[in-house]
Amino acid sequence: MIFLTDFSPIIPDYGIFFWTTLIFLFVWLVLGKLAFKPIAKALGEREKTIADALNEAESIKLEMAKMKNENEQLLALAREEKASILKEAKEMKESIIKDAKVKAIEEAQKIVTTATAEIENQKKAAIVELKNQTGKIAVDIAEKLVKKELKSNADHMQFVQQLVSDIKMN
Amino acid sequence: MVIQIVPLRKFLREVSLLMTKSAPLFVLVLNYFLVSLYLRNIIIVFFCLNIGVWGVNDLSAQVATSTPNHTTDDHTQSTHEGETHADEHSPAAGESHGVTAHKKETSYTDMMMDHISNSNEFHLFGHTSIPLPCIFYTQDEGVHAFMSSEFEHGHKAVKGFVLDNGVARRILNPAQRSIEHIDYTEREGDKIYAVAHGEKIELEKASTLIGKTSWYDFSISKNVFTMLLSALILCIIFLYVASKYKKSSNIAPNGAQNFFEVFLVFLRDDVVKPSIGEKWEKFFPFVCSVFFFILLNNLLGIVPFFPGGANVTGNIGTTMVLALFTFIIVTLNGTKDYWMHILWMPGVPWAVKLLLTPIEIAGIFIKPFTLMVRLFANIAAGHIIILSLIGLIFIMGKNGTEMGGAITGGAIGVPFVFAMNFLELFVAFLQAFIFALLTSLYIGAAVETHAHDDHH
Repeated sequence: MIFLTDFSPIIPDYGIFFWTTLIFLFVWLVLGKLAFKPIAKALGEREKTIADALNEAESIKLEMAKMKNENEQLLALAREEKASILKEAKEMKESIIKDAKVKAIEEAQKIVTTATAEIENQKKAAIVELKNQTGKIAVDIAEKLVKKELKSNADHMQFVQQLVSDIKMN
Repeated sequence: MVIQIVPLRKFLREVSLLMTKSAPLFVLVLNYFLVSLYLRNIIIVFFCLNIGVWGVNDLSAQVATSTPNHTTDDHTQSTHEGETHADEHSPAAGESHGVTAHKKETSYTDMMMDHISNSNEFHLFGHTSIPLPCIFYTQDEGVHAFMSSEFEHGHKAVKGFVLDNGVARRILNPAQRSIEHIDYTEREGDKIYAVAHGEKIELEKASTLIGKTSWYDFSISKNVFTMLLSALILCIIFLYVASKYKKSSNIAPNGAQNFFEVFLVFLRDDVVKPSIGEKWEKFFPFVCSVFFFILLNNLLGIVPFFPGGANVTGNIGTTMVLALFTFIIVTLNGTKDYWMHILWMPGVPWAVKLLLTPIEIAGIFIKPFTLMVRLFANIAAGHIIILSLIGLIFIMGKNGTEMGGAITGGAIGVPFVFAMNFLELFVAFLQAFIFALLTSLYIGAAVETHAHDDHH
């Protein structure tokens, strides 16, 4: 116990108490205000910046993936569309050709029919014309005959025969 | 709350990471400590080898004392360790007075305690000390201020004050305070005397918080000087580091900034944030200040020569102030919840409350008290162990009379001191960390607001 009473580190003294308070208060206030607080702030800011940048990169990456996916989908869609358009076009071509063929045949038939009808009409008209002409000629002949009759019999006979032959032609 | 081991493991990992990250600075700091530890061992070996010379002196002293009325030479009073500043250079000591040979009783325990105690001068080696300002407040004579070099290492009384093994003491009897010359100081039981012209003058005990003295010592003592120095070093380091952060906060850190960032980030993420929670930012500067102040003073304490060597954090006054700061901060920031938990614990039967309240109230004071004692005891004990191991040289050498014993003591002591120094290096970091961690845990408990249902 002798040394314990004299053991100064175990007994606090005024000087140490006073000066430690002063010095530590100084360290705390000065360094706290000028160093530790700004450092904590700067560290926080830096970490926030890094975290933000990482998050942004991640979101951009996601967006990129999304866009890529979309593009691929679009591409696939386009391809599909192309195929379908091609198919449609082919079908259309075929149908057009087929239609055209049918139409052509129909048209041809129509033309043939019309032509036949026209021919018939023309024929009829021609016959009518012929009949008319024949009648006219007959009248003419009759006129001429009548006129000739008045001249000779032989001539008449010859003329009638000629007329008959003429009629046979029809 | 339970102290986790995880932060420590993380800390060690961070430190190993740090080694690779900021190698140059780390190597520099490590080398500084390794060199200082190495030099310390060389000094011890040097002591060991010199024991022979001292032994001869000491032996002659014993012979001298055994022959009465024989005027002895100066060396009789010079002690072997060269620590007690004997009268070699004092012309008045031996020849002029021819005092009866008096073998000073200096036990190794005393020497050890002097070493870890505060002192009014900064002892470098032999008889060389750095003078420090002495500021004494006396109740009867006002303030005395002078440099400690005026004491002439204890051979001169200045304004009624005497230096005993580096510690200033006042002459008890006002009538004797005019005395100027002092031969030496000696201890008898728990009393200390200054001897002048064969006359014993009783000295008052050193000024402490315990017991009344007629004077108070407000000197810039060895410890205060070291603290001022460490405050200066801390300011230089952290103002520089902070300036780097201000200049380029978004650029990757390098050099000193990187070295300290590891500590700062560790303190923030593994000490302050988990312990305090949301309000961590308010207390981060305090915990950082405490951590680095303790760490630097611990490390300076390991360095055996100037500017180290002062037992700052191993002095209870210093740890008391630090613990008081924690106590004040905890008390001022205590929420209603915190006080309710102390005074009238919710969710507990009233009979238990009656038992719990006194314990909790005692806990308010026990917490900072343990902080104070833990740091003080760890650091002081480290110093004492190292001094004890060095003491083996003197004890086994029987105060220098047996050279073989001294060498054996040295052979045992030196490797152990070497190992102890590394342990002390670890303890310096550990104790700073524990103080910071517990401080933030106490603050965390005080500022915490929680729902009562999910607690207890």
